[in-house]
Amino acid sequence: MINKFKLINHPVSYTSNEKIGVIHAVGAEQSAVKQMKEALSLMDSSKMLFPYRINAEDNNLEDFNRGLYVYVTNILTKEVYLAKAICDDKVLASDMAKFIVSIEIDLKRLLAHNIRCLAVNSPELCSKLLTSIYVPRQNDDICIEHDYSTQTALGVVPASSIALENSNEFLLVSKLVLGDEASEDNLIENFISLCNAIYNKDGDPEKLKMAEKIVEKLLKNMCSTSEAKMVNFVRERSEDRMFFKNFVYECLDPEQLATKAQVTIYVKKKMKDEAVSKNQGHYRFFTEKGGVHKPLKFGRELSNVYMLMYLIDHVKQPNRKQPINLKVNIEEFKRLYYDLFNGIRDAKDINHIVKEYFHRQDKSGNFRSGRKSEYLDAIRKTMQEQFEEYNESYLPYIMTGSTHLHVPIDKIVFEDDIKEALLGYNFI
Amino acid sequence: MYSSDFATFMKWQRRECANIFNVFFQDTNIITEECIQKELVFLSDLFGLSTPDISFGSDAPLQVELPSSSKDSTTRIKCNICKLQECGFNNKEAVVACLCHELSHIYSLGQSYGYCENEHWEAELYADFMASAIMTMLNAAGGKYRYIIGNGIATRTHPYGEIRQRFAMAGRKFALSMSKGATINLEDIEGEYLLFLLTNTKEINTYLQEHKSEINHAFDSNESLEIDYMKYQDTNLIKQYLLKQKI
Ligand SMILES: [Zn+2]
Repeated sequence: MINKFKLINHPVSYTSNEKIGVIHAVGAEQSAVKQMKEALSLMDSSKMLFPYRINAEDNNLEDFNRGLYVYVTNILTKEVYLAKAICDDKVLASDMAKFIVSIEIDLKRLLAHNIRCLAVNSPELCSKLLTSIYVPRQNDDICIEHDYSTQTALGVVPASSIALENSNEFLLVSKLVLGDEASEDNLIENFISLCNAIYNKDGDPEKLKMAEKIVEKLLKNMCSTSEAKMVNFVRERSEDRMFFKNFVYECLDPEQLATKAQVTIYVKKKMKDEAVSKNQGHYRFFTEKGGVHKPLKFGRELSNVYMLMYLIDHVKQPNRKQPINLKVNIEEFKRLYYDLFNGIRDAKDINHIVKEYFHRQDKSGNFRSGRKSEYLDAIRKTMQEQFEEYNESYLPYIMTGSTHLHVPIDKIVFEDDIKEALLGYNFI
Repeated sequence: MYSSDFATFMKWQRRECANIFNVFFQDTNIITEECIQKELVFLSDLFGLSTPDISFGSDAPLQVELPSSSKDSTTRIKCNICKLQECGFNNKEAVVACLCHELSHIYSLGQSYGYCENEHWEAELYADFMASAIMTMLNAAGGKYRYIIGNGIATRTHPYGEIRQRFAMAGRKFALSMSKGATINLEDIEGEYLLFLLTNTKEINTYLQEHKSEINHAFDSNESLEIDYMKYQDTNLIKQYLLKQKI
């Protein structure tokens, strides 16, 4: 039985198609592998993202530990991930089931996010093609306060699906509020007008209140089935190359998105009277769009250093595509760390932190994967949240395990008094 | 042997073999509100949940009201003891199993795996599996509960009794395989549930198709798909609207 279970997703640049979905059981007992095989043969692969197979391996690679490993792809973007579950002692068929389900939950969330990008960035493409799905917002907290009129994920997409799925109720409500304007032939437009009316409180308050309640109920029903529908939608169309080509190009390609980037990132020195921060050190990040400035804080101290390193390097070498190899640049990285946390953190810390970056050992001497993915995830998460507020894509502004930043360099501003110092760093 | 001991013994004997007489006429207890409240506190603790507010005298036997907004985070359970008894949940263990089922829903809130084409069904099977496994681990009689759910009919929200019972039995089987007195680890039960779910999706989805065709058939013979809102209670908003229009 496992008592430690951790799923870590690493984007990897390439793996052959045959490897996708093969679960490598490293160090698992023969009998366990047999059970897993049996279980897999009973599973309905048409309901899963991949046809999984199992492969027993007892080779003990240095960094690897006992556990389950599988390459999976985001079926939309074709990004490849290596998912690992670290297991202790005996691994059971139920552990494998848990592993599969966890991976798929993660991937489905990613897909949900991708489709949100689609809806925001290309509403026409979206409304044309996503007529039968609804995408919930991150926290699923769908209520009537949301602005349905923005023809985005919350407008066009649910409108069509709600209208189509509940045409009877929906038509009644539309007629109630919109009068004879509402007809069966333009359900989707009705829905948007209806939501606008509710949102702007435009009409008879009693009727609106009634309509609001019904719409809210319909929306809630949609929410409960949204994710499965969405995944089915993507699965059914995953052969539609043109759609996905357009989709990936217009909505998810960071290079393409960078050409439309609106947000500027500022790096400033902390104000004299500002309290020192253990995580941010002496510098502060800000984002700005249309005159609105927002502080950008990453929860992990190394995420801050990491981001700063990428920003500096991007300004100096805007054409670099590959990520920075930290092993080669370790001394320069430490120097930046000292600079950022001078007098705040003990200089000794960095050696330990850097060591844990690649891999680490637990108390019983087992290797665990390093914290690199945690730092990257912290950046991705913070950026995503903040950029959603701007209604902008964060993709050009983050690095991944295999890519550098894509943001145009005029969108990166180092304040004058630190500019020279920062540009003095050289990463190879 | 004292008579009360004998009763206990008989009850213990019947614990897994439920039949209609057992369920409705023998092996019954008087259930009090206090008793339910006490069990609810114990079980919420087991699930690591804060104890839901409970109120008595609802329309349905047992009903969970999830927090309606992010501001209000209280979960409410509404309970009608008479109705519970009418369904056959008329002794303490059966009611505990029911509470366990509802708490499983709360525990897994928002988690949907999407392998069964109907997510409501999936959630029900999860709750049945969990409740049954936990009852077994608590060494409490779950037979009556399994009997009752096993006799339910299929609806949009609830699967055929047959599948529900099968999931409940699988939960029990897993719990029996654990060593006696082992601590209840919900994650392990969940893992086992997932395995059972994944290896049974084909069948569940076949049942679902069957249910859908049943519904279609029922509608076919009825000719019209129109919903008769006049049948609904006066609080129904669409009915209110329709009535207003008529005037
Ligand atoms: Zn239920």
